[in-house]
Amino acid sequence: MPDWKVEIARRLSALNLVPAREAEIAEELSQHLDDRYNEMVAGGSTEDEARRETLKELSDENLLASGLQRVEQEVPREPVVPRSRNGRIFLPSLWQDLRYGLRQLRRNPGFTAVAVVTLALGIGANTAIFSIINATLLRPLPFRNPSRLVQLWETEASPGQYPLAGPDYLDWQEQNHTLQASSLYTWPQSFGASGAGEPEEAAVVATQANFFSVLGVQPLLGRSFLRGENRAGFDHVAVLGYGFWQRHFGGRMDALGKTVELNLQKYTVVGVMPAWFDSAGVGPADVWVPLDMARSALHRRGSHYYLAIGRLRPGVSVAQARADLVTIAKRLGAAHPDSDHEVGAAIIPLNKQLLGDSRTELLIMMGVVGLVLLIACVNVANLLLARAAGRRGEFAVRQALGSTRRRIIRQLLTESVLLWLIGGGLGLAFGWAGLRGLSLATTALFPHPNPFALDGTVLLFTLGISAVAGLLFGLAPAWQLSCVKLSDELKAGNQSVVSPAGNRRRLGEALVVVEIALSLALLTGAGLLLRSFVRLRETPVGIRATGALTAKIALPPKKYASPRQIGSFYQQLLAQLTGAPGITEAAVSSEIPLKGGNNGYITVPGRPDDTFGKVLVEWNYITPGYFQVMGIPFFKGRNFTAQDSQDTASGMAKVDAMVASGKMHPVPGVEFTAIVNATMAKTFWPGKDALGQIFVLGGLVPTRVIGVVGDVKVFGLWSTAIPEAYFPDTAAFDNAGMPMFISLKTTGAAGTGLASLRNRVHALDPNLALFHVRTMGDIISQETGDTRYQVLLLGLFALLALALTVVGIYGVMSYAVRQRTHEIAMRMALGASPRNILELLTGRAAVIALIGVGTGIAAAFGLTRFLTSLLYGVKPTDPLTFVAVSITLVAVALLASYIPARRATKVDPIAL
Amino acid sequence: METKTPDIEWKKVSAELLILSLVEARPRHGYEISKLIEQRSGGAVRFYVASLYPLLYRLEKRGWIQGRWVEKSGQRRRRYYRLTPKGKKALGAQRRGWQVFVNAVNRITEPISEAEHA
Repeated sequence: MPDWKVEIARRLSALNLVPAREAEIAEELSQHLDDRYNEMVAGGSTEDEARRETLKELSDENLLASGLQRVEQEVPREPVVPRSRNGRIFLPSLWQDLRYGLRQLRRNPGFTAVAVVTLALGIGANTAIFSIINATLLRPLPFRNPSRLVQLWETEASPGQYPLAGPDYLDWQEQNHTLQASSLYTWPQSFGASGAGEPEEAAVVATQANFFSVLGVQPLLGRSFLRGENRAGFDHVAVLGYGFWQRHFGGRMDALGKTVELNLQKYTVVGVMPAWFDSAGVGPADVWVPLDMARSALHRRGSHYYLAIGRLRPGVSVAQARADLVTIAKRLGAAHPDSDHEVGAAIIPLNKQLLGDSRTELLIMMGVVGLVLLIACVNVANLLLARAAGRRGEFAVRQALGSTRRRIIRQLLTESVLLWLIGGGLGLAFGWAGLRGLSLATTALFPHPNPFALDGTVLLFTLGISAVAGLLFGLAPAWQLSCVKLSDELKAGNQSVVSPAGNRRRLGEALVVVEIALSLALLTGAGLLLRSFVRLRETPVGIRATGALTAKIALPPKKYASPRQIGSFYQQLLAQLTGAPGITEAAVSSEIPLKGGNNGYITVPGRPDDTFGKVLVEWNYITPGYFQVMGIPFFKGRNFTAQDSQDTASGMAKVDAMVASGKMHPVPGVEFTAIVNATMAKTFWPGKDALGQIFVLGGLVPTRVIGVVGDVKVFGLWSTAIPEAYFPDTAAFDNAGMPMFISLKTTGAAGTGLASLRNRVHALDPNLALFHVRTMGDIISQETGDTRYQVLLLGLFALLALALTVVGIYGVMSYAVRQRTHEIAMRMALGASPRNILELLTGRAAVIALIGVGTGIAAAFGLTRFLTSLLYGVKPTDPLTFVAVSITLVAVALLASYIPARRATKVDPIAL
Repeated sequence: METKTPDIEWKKVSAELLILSLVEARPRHGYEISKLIEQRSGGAVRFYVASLYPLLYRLEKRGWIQGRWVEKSGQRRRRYYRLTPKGKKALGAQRRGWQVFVNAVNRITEPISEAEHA
């Protein structure tokens, strides 16, 4: 019997069937032919006749193949075409889509790697910044009912929020109807913590006993304060911060009941707070101790000294509570016109208080990383478009074989979402790494109780943006491929049909325009911040403090109680320091430039606002060497003398005695001397000579101006000059325990001066510690830290955006060159020089870049105003920045297009 | 009609109906189906391998018939096709459609009666 399978196989060969299926068909058909042949032979035909007749069954060469093609190839070997409305088919086919998508990605490792890394950078940046947003703006604070926690402030005639005066707070506490509870506490104060080993500095906050319970926080070990511990004599108990407990007690459980010595006073440890509370930002301290809440102990009215938190009663709004406190404040103003007649109340939700200006900054950063992601996505969409060009054949055949358009789009979207999700996965890793870096920088900027971590919300966010971006940016390439027609592809052969390729190129170019515009906006923002940073670095502080070293020292009141004891310590110290190795000049002061200050009310006789409580000026208690150490210029008059110090000390003693006796009027014969800054002279005695003028200190002490010096920035680099008065240091010594600064003008290595200082201090009192040892240079660069970090972060993102844009431009130009190879070859064959070709291609890139820059400038004009609050000395529309960034972008665009364009000039017309 | 071999279009329209009808009673293999068509049409309709099998596969793909390899002892295995419930429905519909069509064609092509002339 003849073997029909050869004949059958020949006819099936064109179909490219799966071998198993082909064998099955061949078996069935050849059996049919056997039957037919046997029947004919049985009917009397010769074998030859039978064979000829049987073969007629297969008819001509093509009939079988064309009949089978429609049936057999409806089952593509790759994804199935679910035409069924049956839902059960969806999931298996999705799985198939995913597997096919993965195979596609593996098939182009280069494309996949570039796309995944691009996306991961964009998604990673978003993940990192979103983690911070999540911790600070989205998640509630880890306190009990945190939405009801508020920070309480007082207000004054001049704008801003002021700390609370103790007696005012007590009245608020008694008379309000809107707060469930409130708690008073102090700013952190530097105490010398001693006992075992080298004395160390500890930040100590004194609180009302209910401080922790108002927040709703439990200690990790032991207890918090009890009500009775707010009284003198019962207040020598301490709650330790976790870090301090670890450092000082090695994290041992038996720390409870042990003693910690603060400024030589013994405190019994009763509790330890959990680790997260160290960075909670509310009453931040190493050690908490009870605050003496006796009215007499809480300073006087008009002295804004304390901080307070409150918990709103359920159902009470912030506005209602504010109205309540303002009513009380008005009542107090009427009762105590001397101190309170302009005092009001302000209430700020605690989370808002903790974040401060960082909220704006965070939202700006989120916007920035959003733009970076947009650029990354645009880039990958561009890559997909270019790749789509290579896959037109594949999809044309699929469509011809019955895949619906919807089906093709679904397959392609599955692929792009898959790509974005892989990018998202890697982005999560990048984000995690970025977050670790950012955490170091940002917790220092705004301490926040919620850790910046990749939690469920962040994972969901990353997954969400990856999937949504994958769908959105996969849509254009998918749509393009789904439009492919087999007939067009066949007509076009290997060459691209002019119009679709042109469309693709135009779409790619449009995407590059978007990229350039976005990059320009980001680079402009970064440029503006950079200029701010430079301006800030150059901003005059008012000092020439090369080689100035500062350190803080706090004399424990137990040992140094009287002004005489305090004065004698500093006198001895200064005497020993002057001329010590590495030190040319030394001074004591209560404040140093940039680090904030102390202020008080003055009245200026003859001024329209000649009532007490109207005019606040900064003050600083100093020894004469201060101006020289800090390099503050002396404009006129004279410096303090030893006589001024003595007079002030004796005058101060008289004033204190009178105040202690309950009388409040000037003491006859007591007059202080003061040196004022230029702004103070100009403000209070405009057009007159300030020298010899009198102002009244605290409503009590007439003070004569004996000198005028240059302005110094008191509250950081951003602050403007404000009136400031300097008094002899002895005026501060009635305030035992007040920390003072020692400032040294050093020569040679800063270490020598510091060693001299340490030795002299220890020689005088071995229990004293030096805190905050820094050079003025360090202080200035710390002040620019915020801006430096903003510049770094935004600069980093802007550079990322620029790099992505360069890749984008390069990609699109390479693609364009590939598409136009024939055209270029033709042009060269017709006599175009390589130079012409280069000009043609880079000219196109220049046009794209210029359109992008134009769009970007418009966008940047709109966006940079959001940066206004972060800028110093630069307008958001700074022309220099705009021009520089635009030129950079055009140059970069031309460079990125030059390489592919140059390659195009190497096209050999004959080889094509 | 005089034509011994019906036109190819006719075949196409009716081919599915013929196959479905033949496998309605019991499963049959391809050769058997082609033999029955030839015999029952008195040789007027014949399907060659090249057109029969693509048709069978298409019906199978649609889920109207289902093919299954059956081995009998001492014989080569054969593929038997049986009607599925879905195919049964399709067969019913096609039969009715065919009947309507044939009736319509008959009404048009029958010799004109006297009554209609009047």
